[in-house]
Amino acid sequence: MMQLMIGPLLALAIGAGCRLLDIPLPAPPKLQGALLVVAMTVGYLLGDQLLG
Amino acid sequence: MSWKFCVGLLLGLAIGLGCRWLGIPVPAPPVLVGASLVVAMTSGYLLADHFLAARPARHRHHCGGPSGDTQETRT
Repeated sequence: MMQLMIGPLLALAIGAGCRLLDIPLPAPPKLQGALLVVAMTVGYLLGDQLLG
Repeated sequence: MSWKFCVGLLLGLAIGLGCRWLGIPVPAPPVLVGASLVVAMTSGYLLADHFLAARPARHRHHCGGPSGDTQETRT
């Protein structure tokens, strides 16, 4: 449970640090791109459920 | 939400389904927590971008740029 709380905070800090230090981000820099990553994961999990 | 974004989301879903169906590694984290961490990283990047864009560039005159000037013409 603690790791689930620390993870998003660490990810937020990594994103902010990458922008402040002008380092390339290991994620899409647009929100639409990040939501497409989520869509791919949801599709994968749906396929996992359908195929058993 | 534009129709292009909706098509993109459907394409993302189809890519995820197809990757699972064909047994191909998916180009995204296969766990929902990992995908939400990607969204959190992008959110942090956009928040910092918003913070930086709200402040004026105070040292712009110290920076070089593609003006075509050479070092000799500046001095």
